[in-house]
Amino acid sequence: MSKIGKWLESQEAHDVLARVARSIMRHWRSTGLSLSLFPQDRRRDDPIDDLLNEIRSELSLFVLESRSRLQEMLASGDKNCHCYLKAAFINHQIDNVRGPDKDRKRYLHNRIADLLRKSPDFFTFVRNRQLLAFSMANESILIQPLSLEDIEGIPFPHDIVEELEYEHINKKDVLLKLAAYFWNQASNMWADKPVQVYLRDFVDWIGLHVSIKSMAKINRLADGDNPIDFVEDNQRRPDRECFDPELVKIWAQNFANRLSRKEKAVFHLRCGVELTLEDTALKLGLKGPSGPAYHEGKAKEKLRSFLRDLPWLSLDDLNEEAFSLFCDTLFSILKKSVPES
Amino acid sequence: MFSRKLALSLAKQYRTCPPQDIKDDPSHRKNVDHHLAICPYCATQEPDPAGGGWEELAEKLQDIFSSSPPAGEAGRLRSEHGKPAPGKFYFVRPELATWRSGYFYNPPMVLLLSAGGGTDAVSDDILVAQTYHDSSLAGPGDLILASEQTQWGELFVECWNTYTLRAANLGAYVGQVSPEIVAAVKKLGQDPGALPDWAMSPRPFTDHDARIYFRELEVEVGYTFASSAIEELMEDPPAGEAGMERPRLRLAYSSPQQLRDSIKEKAPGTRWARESITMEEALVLAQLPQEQLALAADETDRRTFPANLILLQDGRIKTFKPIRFEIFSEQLVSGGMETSGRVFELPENLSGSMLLCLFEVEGQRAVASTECEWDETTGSFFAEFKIEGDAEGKMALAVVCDLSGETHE
Repeated sequence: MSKIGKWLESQEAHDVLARVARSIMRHWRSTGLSLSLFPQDRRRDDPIDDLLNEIRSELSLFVLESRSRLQEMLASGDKNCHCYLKAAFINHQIDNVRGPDKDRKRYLHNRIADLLRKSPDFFTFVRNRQLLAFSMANESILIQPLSLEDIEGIPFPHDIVEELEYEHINKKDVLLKLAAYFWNQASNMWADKPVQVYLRDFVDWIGLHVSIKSMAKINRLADGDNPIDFVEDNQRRPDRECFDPELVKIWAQNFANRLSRKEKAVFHLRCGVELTLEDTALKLGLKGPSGPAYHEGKAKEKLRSFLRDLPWLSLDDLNEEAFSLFCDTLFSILKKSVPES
Repeated sequence: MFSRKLALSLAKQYRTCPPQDIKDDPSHRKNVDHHLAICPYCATQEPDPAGGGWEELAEKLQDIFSSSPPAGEAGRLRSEHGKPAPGKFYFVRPELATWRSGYFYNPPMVLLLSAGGGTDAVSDDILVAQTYHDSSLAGPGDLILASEQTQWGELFVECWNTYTLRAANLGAYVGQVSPEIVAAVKKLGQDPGALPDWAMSPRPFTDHDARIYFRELEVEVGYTFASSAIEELMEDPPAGEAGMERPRLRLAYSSPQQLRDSIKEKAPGTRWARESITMEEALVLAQLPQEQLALAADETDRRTFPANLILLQDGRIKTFKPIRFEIFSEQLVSGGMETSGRVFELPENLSGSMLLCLFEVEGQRAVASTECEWDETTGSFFAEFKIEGDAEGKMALAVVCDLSGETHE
């Protein structure tokens, strides 16, 4: 057994991995950032100990499976390499839990791959030795795999499939039409250049729109293929529906602390009290409106950057109630920075 | 599948949050407190020794791996890497990690592009491109490399984010790429569309793209470490906390005298009132010859003053010319003076410039601004100086922009 394998079986490894698992759980509970990394039906009902054990086992497996990659990176002397380790594990989790049943997903993947290879309208390519990509043009560019945000940005074409149920999707002509549609959408993202899109991304995209509940009922398909029931319903994202008000209040304080004295005063008067630039200048004893405009611009720029990756508060993930609480808290803090007139 | 938003969140933490040993070190208490006040990630972490176990796990794995070095070609090359040379990857030395404005900048991994430079280059100077390990944040102008190409793992080279370091600032060697890849990086640095056929094409930017904010972060990281390297070269580096907060220059000159020689070469007849000056003073207090100032004179009724515009290419002066500025207000405040105004005659599409502000107190050395806010799109500025209330003097400005950064966005 390898040295790393032996260590993973030790009590020390058990304790260290348990601490990491607890940290992941805390993060998951407190921020919602990691909520989507776990199957929804497992989040609230399972005993905490079972979930912790599951995360610990997954970590152990991750370390074993990725040991050569991790060895290269950890041996390079990066003092902050634990951040890399954390990011790599989260990405590994995203890959693994998106569909609760990898076999079902693999089945659909293989079926579509077969259809694309046989279709005269598509060209297929093998990338990175194992990933299948496809295109509708012979001359096409290699692209990055699509991100979650990219995939979520592709609307489902209801003119191709009337009902979002597996039995309506898993038909040869529908899958090929969907593949063509998906390829066109991906090419649009690359400024209409013909691209080679990964089949895995296409299958993930279908998974975002097809309900697993309806699939589970299927016993036999109309065109004679075996049933595939692989995808959870990801349209409902609990991390977007609920938020932690205490966190939102702390973040408002963090943001207020990032502003300079003048930015605080100007931002409060302009965006909280909604004074004009002239009145703001008057209130703060400034000569003209250009001063407040400058500080307001700087504060807004800082706000955009601050909120961009925070759950519930960024534009692509906005929870109006959370944002309203953030603003109320922020303005009540900033109010103290305005001089009494 | 990956999330760019999550990747951005992790990148911010990887680049600018202090590791646990720094958080636990009492000598860093003041900076850590400042960081906790502004960081949404650290502020909401429950107190947890060893960073929630991640750092402990990373250390344990490092121990195990170090007792059995990487197998195969990569391991052999790592132990025999020899002198720094173009195409090699290194981490910047961990001791150079530093605090700036409440963020703890962790040293990045860089790809060495060239050693040495022009005739005025310091022999130890090297040109590097910054890299990042999560290719989900790669954008147009970045070059994504596969594990087989780097001997390390997948990463991308920020071909637009290049700067000068000293060879002595390089830390651990991590891998090497072929000369063809170095050439591709340099080409992409000049033309973000010149992607080699074999490379993956990143998605073009969209509105509110997380990668735009990632690039802002990466510019700050590069700026921090390039500045650190340059600061070592300056004969009179800013000292103390106030100095750390001031903008610092990316210049590839080893001394103020070398910088002055270069300015005189670009603008013959330029003079300085004093001999002994710093790099910053050499730029701001350079007095261009009268005939050049006349060309830049303002023909309106505004009362304006001369300033200097310096365009750099890879830290070296490309253009040195006069511009003008006006002062809106000068107010004495507790402990100093606040000034606001506007700079004119800036080049169109100026991007990534900085404003250097000095206040020349009569008979004394020039005082640098303790705070300087600058909006290059309008030319508006705001500066604070710590000076005595009755000090007589005048303000001097320079706008500095490195053109090699113009292709950054």
